[in-house]
Amino acid sequence: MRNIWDTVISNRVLFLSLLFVILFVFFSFTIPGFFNLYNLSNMTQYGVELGLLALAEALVILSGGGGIDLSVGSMMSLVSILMGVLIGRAGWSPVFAVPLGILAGMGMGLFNGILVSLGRILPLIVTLAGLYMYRSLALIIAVDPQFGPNPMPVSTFPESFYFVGQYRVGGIPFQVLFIFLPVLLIFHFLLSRTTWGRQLYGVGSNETAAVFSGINLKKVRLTVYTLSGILSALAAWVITSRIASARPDVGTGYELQAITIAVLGGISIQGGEGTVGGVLLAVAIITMINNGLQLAGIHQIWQLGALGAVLVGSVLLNQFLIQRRKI
Amino acid sequence: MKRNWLVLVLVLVLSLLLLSPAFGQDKYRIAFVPKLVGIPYFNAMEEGGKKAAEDLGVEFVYTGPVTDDVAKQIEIIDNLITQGVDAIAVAPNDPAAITPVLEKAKERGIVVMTSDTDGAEGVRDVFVNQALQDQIGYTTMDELAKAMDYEGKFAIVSCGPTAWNLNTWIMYELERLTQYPDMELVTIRYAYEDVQMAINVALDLINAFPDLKGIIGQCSTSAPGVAEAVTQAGKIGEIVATGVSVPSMMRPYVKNGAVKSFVLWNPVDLGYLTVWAAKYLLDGNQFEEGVEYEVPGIATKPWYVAEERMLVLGPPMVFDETNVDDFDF
Repeated sequence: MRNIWDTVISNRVLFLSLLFVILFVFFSFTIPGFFNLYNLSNMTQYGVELGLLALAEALVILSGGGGIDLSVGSMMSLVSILMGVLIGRAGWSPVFAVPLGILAGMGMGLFNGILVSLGRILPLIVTLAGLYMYRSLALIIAVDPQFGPNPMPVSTFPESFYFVGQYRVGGIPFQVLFIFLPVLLIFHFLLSRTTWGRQLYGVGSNETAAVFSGINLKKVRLTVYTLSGILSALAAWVITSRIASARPDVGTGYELQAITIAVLGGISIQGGEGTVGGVLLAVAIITMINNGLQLAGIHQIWQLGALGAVLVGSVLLNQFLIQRRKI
Repeated sequence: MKRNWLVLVLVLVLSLLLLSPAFGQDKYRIAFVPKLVGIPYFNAMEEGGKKAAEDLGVEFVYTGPVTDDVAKQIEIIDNLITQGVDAIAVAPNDPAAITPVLEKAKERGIVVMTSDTDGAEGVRDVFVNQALQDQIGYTTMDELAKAMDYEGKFAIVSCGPTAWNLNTWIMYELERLTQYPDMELVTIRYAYEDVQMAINVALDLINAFPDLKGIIGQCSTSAPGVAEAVTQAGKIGEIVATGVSVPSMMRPYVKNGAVKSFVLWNPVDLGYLTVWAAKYLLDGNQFEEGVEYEVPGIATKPWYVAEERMLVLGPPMVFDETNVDDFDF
């Protein structure tokens, strides 16, 4: 018994699983409308965009060297409005506009990566600049001359654009089944089963040792920032399709939530430690709390507070339990 | 060990099955989702909604995003659908983005409405409109004319030069101006949504036109701005300011005499009417063209425009020293 308990508290993933189960059971008993197949599958769609961004954040933070990407929300906004302008105003088919949007996200991530790894500028500075530049660019692109100098959202999409964000397969939202879960599986595989994954953990936990063992530090860091751009673009595609509107401000505020989820999921802010599974659990917990609070009719102002409280609370509890065990 | 777990799981599942039909209530549950919660304007609508719910014996659910977040607003509406409310009224942050989730609500037999701001025009059952554009323009002009004693020069300080609603109001003000032959519009200036800029623009106007007798501040920031300019220039009594704005921002200028009256609508009544209209539709009634409805609990007689499926609260409301203290939005 004592052994099981030790494992649970010292293993982030098991600890989060336990927290998840406790909350799940608690909500099922106390909140009417929470425990039924419809709600449980319906709410998963609200974790997808944040989950993709948190995964992006996890990769960047894992790579160490003060790695952080504050520009994920702005990249999401820019890609969203880019797709909107191409499809809604220029009349492009989504078949071309969506890949181009993903490419644009990749380009922005690559640009961040070049500045960080080749330009040797602190990630915080680079991506903070990115946060403002990409957001501003999104607003500029959104200006519709018809309405004067004001940025306008785009809402004229063909029906075929909505399948990603609004369709269901067997009752489960399309984007969960065909975007989020595959992406998670791919990254779980990459991180745990490939050389690249081992290099990433190596670079993150001990830069010097990694360089001496022949790992190309710059290449690894360049790759994670680029991947962060791609994941942000995927999130942009999903949210634009889901809300049927391309908005230059859609990603505002997501960057900090994404970092919070990554850290809650057990990604060490120093880099080199953490798993995809932990991030998934963190997203699941936060999505479930949001859903539960809303169904219980609890005022919205508590929701962001809940995110912070769960973060601090779970870390404190974890620390406390580990400390106690040592005595 | 294993048996304990099994028992626990069994107990859980059984109790959930027993608990699940905890929903059934016979009172209608009517929800209103504002653009954002926590600002005085929507607090006032909430107050009206609550009052209506008490009077009509329904349950009022008031919930919305903390910022004017489009995605969050949709998520909140979706969760209201899950909760199984009977009617959802929304002041949409994005008139198009709200459409799919309102369609979903409608498919489930929920009465869907917009209030304060329109959206999803093809889907919603009714739009509860605070006031008609032409009447806001006419009333503003009438209030200015009265304050200027029906003669003299005046100027308009508008906000965004392309703001559709402001330009429409100005158009109707000019239409009304033809009834006041001794009044003359000297210029229209733009100050964007910025009180400080409105003050500067109005101070320039006061210098440029020494015989100016009145200024209209066309939006909620420019109206207090022009009133502040009149105060700063020491022209209270010579120049009168008016416009479309909220009592909380205009109160000091009504007190010091720079403003005699200004125009808006009553958001408390708007909230009341929203809940009343939802109940009316839930009871199986239909609105009819041109009918004026008796709604106990509000000061106006709303009427219905069938072509736009729109219920209009009433004529705009005029605020002056007699009633400006009665409102805290």
